Amino acid sequence: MSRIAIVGAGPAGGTLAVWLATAGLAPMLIDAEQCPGGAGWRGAEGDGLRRAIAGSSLDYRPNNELIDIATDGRLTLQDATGRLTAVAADCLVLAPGATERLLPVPGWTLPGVLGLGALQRLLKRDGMRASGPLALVGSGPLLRLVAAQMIEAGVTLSGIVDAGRPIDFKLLAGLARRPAALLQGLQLDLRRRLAGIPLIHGFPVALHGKTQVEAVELADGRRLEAALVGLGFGLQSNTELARLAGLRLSWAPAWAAWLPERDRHFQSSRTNVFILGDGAGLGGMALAEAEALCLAGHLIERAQRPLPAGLAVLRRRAARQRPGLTRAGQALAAWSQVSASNLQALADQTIVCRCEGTTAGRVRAALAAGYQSKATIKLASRAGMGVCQGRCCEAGLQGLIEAAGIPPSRDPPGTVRLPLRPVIAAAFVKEPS
Amino acid sequence: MTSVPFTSPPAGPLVEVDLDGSPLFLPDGANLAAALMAAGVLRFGDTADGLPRGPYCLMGTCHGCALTIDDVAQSRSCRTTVRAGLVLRTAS
Repeated sequence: MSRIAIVGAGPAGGTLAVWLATAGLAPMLIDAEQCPGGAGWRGAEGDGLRRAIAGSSLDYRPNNELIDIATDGRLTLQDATGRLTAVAADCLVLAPGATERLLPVPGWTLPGVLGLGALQRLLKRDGMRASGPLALVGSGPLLRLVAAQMIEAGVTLSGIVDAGRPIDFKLLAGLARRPAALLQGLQLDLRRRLAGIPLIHGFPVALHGKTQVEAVELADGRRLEAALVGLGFGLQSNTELARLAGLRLSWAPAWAAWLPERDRHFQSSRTNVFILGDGAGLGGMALAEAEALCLAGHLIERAQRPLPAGLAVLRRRAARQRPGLTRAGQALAAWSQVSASNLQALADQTIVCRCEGTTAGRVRAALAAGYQSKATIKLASRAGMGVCQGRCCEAGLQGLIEAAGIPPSRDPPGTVRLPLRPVIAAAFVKEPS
Repeated sequence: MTSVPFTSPPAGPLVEVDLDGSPLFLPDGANLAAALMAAGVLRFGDTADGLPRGPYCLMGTCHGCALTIDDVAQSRSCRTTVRAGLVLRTAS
């Protein structure tokens, strides 16, 4: 019998796994997190999925990070203790979701500067909230959502700095396809106004502090007090699994991103490797779930099994909703984008690569010396050579390259090689028998 | 350690860990990076140019939360659970 492995237990991968298990296909569900739901369904909205997974027969592997995808379909997993296991699959579904887009800001390496997702995680998972004033800096819908969540939790916000593009007709037209999201956006902004929290448009900013962050200095010189700063410039499709698997990526203008190619059944350039959800183009949780329902139907029919009760109706509805959800996702993704001119204004001494300490000045020097791609600038400046493997500086590097006049559509993302995460050397060594 | 910027540490009976040679009490079973921050530890090491660094993403990506944990260097504390007797060293 064929073995289906699904990587990622969020709205896309989790939903797919549950339906395949219901149909008797016994998939394996691999996830880096401790419990299912991904980044999107961490709260009560994920309870249904968590109950379904707990009550199903699927082979669920939480706390496992993917380290390698071999050409023969063999996967290498690493658990939280560093132990490696190999699993085999002849059908692979990647549902890696989105990652936060990180952009460099002077002082962003100071302790107390956290990603917007990290603030959400501390609140929802650990029940921790900021005790002193919190300032938020970033762009797009996530910035507003986190602000509203923090106000709701009783956190004092000293201000919100928006570096994104202004709301225009194109954005509203895209959002109109998801009236609920548009309404939610208006409610979030009303809540901010009622709480009297300033929303400041203007970039760049600088973060100041000695041993930890203390203040945000605005473009006009004003200061916002901040015991903590939340930083986040929207989301981006996580394509590292696709790149590790050697899938073909192409430039998708609608998302302004390099994305894995797919056919109408979500199959990538590699036979029997499928890719679902935000990792194939930002569309949010609703689109991720809709795609999962469509693929579940396809894989169950392909295996010549009867569709479980209810799936046919859900799949039809999901297929109808997909085009609108896709366009809304593209509008939301565009809202988060920060123009390259904002990166051009970044001071030379700003650290771009947190791991290696590479500054914006060194990247610019490499550009001036004729290096024109992320891959060559990496070799010339060490940006992206550190322990995070370039995940934290890739978007910043891209922005600086774009500011120098080289469009991102001309610079495909770099190769991803095993191990995808640092591995303890001992895990590779076999005891002599 | 300066002012603690967080309220309400994660729940759990406190257990003793060793942070750079000093005892510290953290809630058993909590996420280690979160528990350390709730205890007022914000500097987890230094950046390449000697400035203090701490957790940033809390999802296993950035390595800002990396510590030497039980002699394993570059261990991500955001992917570690608190248990009694952990030996933690902030790297520099």
